[in-house]
Amino acid sequence: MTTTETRRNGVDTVTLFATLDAVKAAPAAAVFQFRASNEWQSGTHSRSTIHGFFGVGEERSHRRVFEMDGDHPQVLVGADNGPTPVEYVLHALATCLTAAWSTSPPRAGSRSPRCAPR
Amino acid sequence: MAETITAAVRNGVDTTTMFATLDAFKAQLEIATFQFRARNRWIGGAHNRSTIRDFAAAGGEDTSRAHAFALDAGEPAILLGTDTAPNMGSDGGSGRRAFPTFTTVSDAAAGTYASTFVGPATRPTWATADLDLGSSSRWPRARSFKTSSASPTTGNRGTTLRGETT
Repeated sequence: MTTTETRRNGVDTVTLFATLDAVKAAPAAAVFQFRASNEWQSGTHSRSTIHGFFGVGEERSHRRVFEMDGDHPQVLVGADNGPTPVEYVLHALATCLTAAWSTSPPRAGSRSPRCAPR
Repeated sequence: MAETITAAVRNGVDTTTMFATLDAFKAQLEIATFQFRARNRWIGGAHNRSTIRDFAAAGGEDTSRAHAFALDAGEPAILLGTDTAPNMGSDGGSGRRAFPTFTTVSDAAAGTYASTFVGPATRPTWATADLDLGSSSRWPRARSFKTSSASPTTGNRGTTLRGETT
């Protein structure tokens, strides 16, 4: 199958395949470390800050600082200033799965992403 | 050693309500069952968005949230994204029984992908946790703090959380 498109689902497939090849050639480049710092605000309310991370052999940073608030809802004696930690975990799992779908079609050589609803 | 607690609000926590909640959970464990959910929709490339609002609590659906929380996720440029939001790396390898279930919707023609994650029905482990509110007033100034919790069903100590405050 001849692939002529370079972007699918918003993914730069040329760079995607180049990254996959580079990681195969030098697996150490695939070592990443992500971090989050958290500062207490009041009660069950706290704020995480996400900026720096390590990847492809060097220290890097996101293009801006991401801030995310966490809290408890009222029924758990919080002020609901943000999602609960459990909901952040669900968010993490969901975003990882969705991102995997968006990048898997070009790898599979298929234009239409497929997934198996359960 | 023993600290007299006089203030109803400590560290921004309404301790009267908190102890009342703990007592209510102890007296009726089934109302301590919670279920949280997150819905996620693909936007483009590695960029996707979760919406979080409804959850089940204390025997019914909680409707206290007037608005949904929207959380964006993406990948940095080095991982082919446009860095629209943090990477949400996760380790889902532990605790299969606690793993959330999810439903998926894929409409390739419309170019949309969405998933709904539903957490397992859980009881807050702190229902019988060792909470020392006397020492909690020192958290904001402490270099680190530690708290342990016990399973309400087995009584086994299962979780140790560590955090650092500055």
